[in-house]
This record gives sequence, structure tokens and C-alpha cells, in this order.
Amino acid sequence: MYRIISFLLISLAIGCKGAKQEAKHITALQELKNFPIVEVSIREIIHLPKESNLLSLEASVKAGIDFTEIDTTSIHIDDDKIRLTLPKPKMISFEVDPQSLELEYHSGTRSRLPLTPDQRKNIMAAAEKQLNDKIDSLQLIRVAEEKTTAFLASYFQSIGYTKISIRFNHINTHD
Amino acid sequence: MTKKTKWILYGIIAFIVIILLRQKEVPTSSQVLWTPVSPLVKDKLKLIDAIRANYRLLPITAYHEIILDSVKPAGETLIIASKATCQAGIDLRLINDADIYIEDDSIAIQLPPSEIIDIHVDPSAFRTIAQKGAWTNEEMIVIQSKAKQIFEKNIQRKNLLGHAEIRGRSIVESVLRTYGYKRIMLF
Repeated sequence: MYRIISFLLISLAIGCKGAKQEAKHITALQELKNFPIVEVSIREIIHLPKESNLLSLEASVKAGIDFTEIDTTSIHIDDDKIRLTLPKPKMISFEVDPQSLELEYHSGTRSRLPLTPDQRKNIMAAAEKQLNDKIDSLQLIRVAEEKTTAFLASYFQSIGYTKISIRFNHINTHD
Repeated sequence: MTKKTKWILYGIIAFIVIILLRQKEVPTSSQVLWTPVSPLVKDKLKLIDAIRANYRLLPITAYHEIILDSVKPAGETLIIASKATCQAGIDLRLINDADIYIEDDSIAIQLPPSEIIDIHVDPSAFRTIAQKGAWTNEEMIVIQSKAKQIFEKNIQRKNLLGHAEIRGRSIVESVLRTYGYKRIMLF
């Protein structure tokens, strides 16, 4: 009977070690919060049909992972092997800077023209669509996945893990 | 001591010994009571390698379109939006041993200033906004040769280096926190 109790205590100790390590890594990674893995600045030339004005507008875009979403199901440790399942990267922010709107070209001159509220509204709508198309073409989510994988592989390697597996929403990107 | 008590005692001792052996260090009394988190990597050279490995995380990439125009004496006009790319940030590969000071869970790092890591104007990447008359490849190359200079001015005016520096510092601080450092000073 008492041998069984001792055995159970020993097993508990072995089990606690893995769980403790996992909890430690979860706490550490949660410190990263909404981590902006990728940040880009985009400046697009906006050309409205039937208008001779060419304007430019800038936006700042951040893509990354919300590490506060990870929990005990996200990390599995087996000796020097670690397996992570992370939330898929997402757009953290997409900020169009209205102050950056500039007249780039108008009938051979480069002077600033006053814009009517309607003109401004049309330009902002066209710009938003154009900026979204640009963001799609840059494949920021894929870039964020690649950079996160490289970052975490290097991080866990530096603290002693030899086999690191990282997945994003069931898609294995590093093994 | 009864046989029953002896077995319970053996069990408790085995439990403690296994925990200590697996941690590969004997904790102090304060550690047993408060279980503090100490930095995961204390070895300076190992930490430098780990920090340098993250150099790709820091830069901001700017994708800008630049208007270029030209008019020939005969009235032919060309307006194009040229596409330029720039990477700006703190280059962590420049950090060396003398730039880092570690003491317990405190770390101080002298970071290099942010810089333009790469600037590129792809002559084949542009869109034509307006064109009147014929334009040769040689004429296009001359027009596009102004793109890099205009792009550099835009970057400077928009303070891309300043933004890149703020981002770099913030990321380095976050990464050091994941390593368990509590007091972080970046210069």
C-alpha cells in the first residue's frame, strides 16, 4: 500500500516537471501580448477616373500573433522536444494616415489644391480599396508565419530544445 | 517510528529529490517559498547569439509608389508610378560582447542606431498613369533614375528611421522579457 503511495508521489513529481515547464513557457510567451511580427509602411498613388489629380496616401500595417491566446493546449514538452500550436497570425492594425494625403501631380504643376469634402471622401474610399489590394499582394500573413517560426525556433533552441515543431491552426510550417 | 510513517517519509523524500534532480540545481529557501523566474539564458555569448538571430524581426519595410513625369519638346508626356522598397531598422547583427551587461535578472544593452538596411527601386515595376507619344527604353531608364533620390527624400521626411528605432527597441524589450529578464535598459 505505502509502496504504491510512494510510487504515485514519484510519478506526480515527474509529471509536475513537464507541466511546470509548459506553464513557464506559456507565461513567457504571453508577455509578447499582441506581437507585431511584421510592420510595413505603404504609400500608394491614387488616380481617380475623370480627374487629372494624382494624390498619394500612406498607411501603416502591422501583422502578428496575439500570444495572450495561447494556453496549456498550445505547448507540449517531451524532454528536449517541444511542440507548439499557435493561433494563426492576423492583422493587428491597419491605419490610414489622412494627414499624409498629398497632391502629387496636377496638369504639370505640383502645387497643393484644396479638396472638397466630396472629393476627399471619394479619394479615401478609392485609397482604402487600393491599399487593401496592395496588402493582399504582400502576403503579410504568410510572412508573419515565416518570421514567427524563425523567431520561436531560435528562441527554444537557445534555451535547450533540440527538436522544435511549430504549427499554426493545424498547418505545420516547421519541423 | 512506525513502518507506516517510515514509508510516508521515504515517499516525500523521493518526491523532493526527483524535483531537485530534474531542476539540476538546488534552490535556496527563498526560491522554494516564492519560486521566482530567473533568466533562461544567463550566458552572455549564448544570449548574444540568440538576440542576433532575431535581426529579421525588427525592420519596417516601406513599399512606396513615386510619381515620375517627363514632357518632350514636341509635347509627348509620360507619367508613371514607380515602385520602391526600403527596409529600415536596428541591425542586431552588429551587437557584440561589449554592448551587453548582465547581472541577475537585469540586463543593459547598447543598441546600434536604426539604419537603412536595403533600398531598392525595381525598374521593371511601375504602372503607367498617362502616356502621349512613343517612349524608348532608354528614355524610360532616364526618367526612372530619379526615383531613388525622391524615395530617399520621402523616407527622410516621413522619419522612417525614427519609427524603425521605436519598433526595434520595443521588440528587443519584449524578447528579453520572454527570456526572463525583469529590468531591461536599452541605450
